[in-house]
Amino acid sequence: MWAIFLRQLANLLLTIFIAVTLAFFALRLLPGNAIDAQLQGSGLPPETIEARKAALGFDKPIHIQYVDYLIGLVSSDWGQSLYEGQTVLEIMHSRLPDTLSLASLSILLGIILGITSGLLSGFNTPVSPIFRTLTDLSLGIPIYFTATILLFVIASRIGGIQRGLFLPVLALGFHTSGALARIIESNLKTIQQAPFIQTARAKGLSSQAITRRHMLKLALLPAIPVIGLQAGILFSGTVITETIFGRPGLGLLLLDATMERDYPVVQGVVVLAAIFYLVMNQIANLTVHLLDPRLTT
Amino acid sequence: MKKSILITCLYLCLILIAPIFSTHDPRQTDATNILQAPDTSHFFGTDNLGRDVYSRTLHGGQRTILLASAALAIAVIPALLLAMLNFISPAIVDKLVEIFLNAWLAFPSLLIALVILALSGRGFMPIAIATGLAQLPYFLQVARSTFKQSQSHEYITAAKSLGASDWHIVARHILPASRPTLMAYTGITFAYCIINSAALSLLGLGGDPSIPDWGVMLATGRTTFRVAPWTAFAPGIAISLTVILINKLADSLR
Repeated sequence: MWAIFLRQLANLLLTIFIAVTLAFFALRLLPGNAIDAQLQGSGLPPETIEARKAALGFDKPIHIQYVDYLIGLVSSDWGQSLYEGQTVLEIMHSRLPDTLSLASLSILLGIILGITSGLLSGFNTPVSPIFRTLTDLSLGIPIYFTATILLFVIASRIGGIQRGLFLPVLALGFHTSGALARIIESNLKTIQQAPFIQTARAKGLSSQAITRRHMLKLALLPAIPVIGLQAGILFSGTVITETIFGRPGLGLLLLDATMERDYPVVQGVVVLAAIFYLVMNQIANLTVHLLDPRLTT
Repeated sequence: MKKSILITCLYLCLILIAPIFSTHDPRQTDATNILQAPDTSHFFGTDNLGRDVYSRTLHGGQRTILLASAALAIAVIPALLLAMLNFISPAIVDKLVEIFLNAWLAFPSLLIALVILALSGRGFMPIAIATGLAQLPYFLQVARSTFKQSQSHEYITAAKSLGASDWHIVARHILPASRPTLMAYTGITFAYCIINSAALSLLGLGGDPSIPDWGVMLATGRTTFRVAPWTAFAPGIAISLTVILINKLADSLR
């Protein structure tokens, strides 16, 4: 068990390191060296630009900048915004709580809704078609359309609800539930035809007992990594939900920073999103390892 | 399966030729007819500049589908070639590709598209490139693992022992054997391309607002939704319907 844990941890750190490297070089090597272009476009005199670049460390050779950046990352110095005097970490810290509450509540709703909907679609019940349609809608309607409808149809009738978390969580949660529901549904359908279920039936086990003892675990276990994968969709979703509902979280920060070409901030948010995604997936994989005895023995 | 392909293809062709059914010039503004409710002359009403929403939806569909198709080609063709190259390369390359891909996939696709677009400027091709490149790693990942699964077929071992070259095996045997999965995933990627390219327009990074696409229409419709719901409903329902149809097709291919 510990060997697996350590190996996965090493793997996680290596992947984070490569992701950080990718983000660093992509933002510097893409057309026209982004940071140069940003400063030159600001209309400041050349001496001021040189001074700013020196102050931000952009006059050094790229490999030195890279090493500086890596050292900064682990010693909680993620650089400075090109605009305000604030550091990237300060800006992100002020935006984090909003996104964190939105994302965590949404994933919670997504899990509850996804499991309910997946199980009800997988077993043949009278309500199954409704939940299958719900899954189709969750996967098919773009989140920005759902959010628009929710905002104007509900918020225009119930005053005050617009400012709360309820509507954004409803939109984001609904759209993270679809993938989960679909995988549980298709797992259940495969398991129902498995030979050992026939055996269980033949030996006279009640269908309730079959469901409880044999099917649920097998259907739900493979859904755990999907929850991890939803973390990525969740972040794209927060950019859109925060824009539509006007919530000043990390998603909106990224959008604004991209528009203003504030590259240190863009880099900070992108790296944070990548680390968050990788850690979530690692936790999901580890959970599967802990719960599935077939993997540890 | 054949029937669903046929229906979806028909639907997509219909969208592509839809502009011939339009009743008004989609760019013609009319200051006297702003935000009018649907009636017999404007089937879907008019928008904030008095433009006919019905005609804009038809024209917008053509552009949205073309945009998503360009993005799809940018994602799928390089991904397939890379997966084939990876397949015939030594095992160590595959290990490196795996580590690299895992890191790349850590960046949510919308974030990648957003950053690429901010660096490369606005317009049709930048949006297509940004949307396509963001989907590329996902397709590469799927192609890579599908190729690996196809490898275990006995006729591939047979071809190998007959002395067939690596390239011959991957092009003639592995690729055809992987076709069902790859076709299904191409459908899913297409759906993502439609959703994400429209999202970029919606976030204000889209192209020229006078040329309508569903994302741009939804972006302007969002601001007038409360007084004139049809301005957002028409493009919103059009996107949803198209994506659901393509998803259904992809499901039936699996």
